[in-house]
Amino acid sequence: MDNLLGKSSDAGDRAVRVLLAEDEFLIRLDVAETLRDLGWHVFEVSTADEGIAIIDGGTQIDLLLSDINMPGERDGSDLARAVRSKLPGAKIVLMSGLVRARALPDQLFDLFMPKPVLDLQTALLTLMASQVPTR
Amino acid sequence: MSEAITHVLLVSGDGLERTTLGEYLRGCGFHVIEAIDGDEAAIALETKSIDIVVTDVQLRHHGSGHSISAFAKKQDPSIEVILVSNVEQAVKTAVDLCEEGPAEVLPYHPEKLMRRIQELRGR
Repeated sequence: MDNLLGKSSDAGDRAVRVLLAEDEFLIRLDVAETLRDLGWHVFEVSTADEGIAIIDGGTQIDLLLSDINMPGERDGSDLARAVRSKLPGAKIVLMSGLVRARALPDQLFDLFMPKPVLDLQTALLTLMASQVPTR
Repeated sequence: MSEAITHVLLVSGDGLERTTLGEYLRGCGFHVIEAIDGDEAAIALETKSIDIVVTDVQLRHHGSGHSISAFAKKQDPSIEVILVSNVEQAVKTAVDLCEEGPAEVLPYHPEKLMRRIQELRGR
């Protein structure tokens, strides 16, 4: 499929697509700009419900970067399960200042980043360059 | 139920403007996906759940509100598009291209925009 500018969107010759779910809008704004500085495409949502709607709608992403505790019917772990189910090739990074990584099932995420998140670009570039899940 | 929720794709190169309007629309009960330019909007429009596109006419990066509008209508003619702009000439252009729908001029009133979305959704 061609995108708006007529470029191919086939995997391999396109920018990384990131679904960013974070309800703290100042954090979301900062993280989104950090990711766009890498040349990646970012879709910003504020709740897991919004993110799940995107995934259920068929949008292809390469990376989910999600907070865990967010308002709405579902949380970041539900969003991660939806991505694992629909897009098994996508990498999943969960962030939280409240939840510990060991409280989550290992298969639910490739990387856990406690808040405040530090050196996000390096961590994500390493993750996206790797084929082996990093925990 | 999720079937009744209106999904809005909000496109603006101005992060604070986008975030502010996005939070307002979420407070009105809409689901909002935020994108910064035409490339991100095009990918987001791959999803089948977008009902309304609210986009700046002029974007800082790839594409314009007009090209996003045309792409959205090509993807799904039932998608409603609201163009916003703080450049009067751009709004006139948008109005001339009436198939792309009505335009709101910045600084627009968020409540007015919310009502416009509800009207487009037949509520």
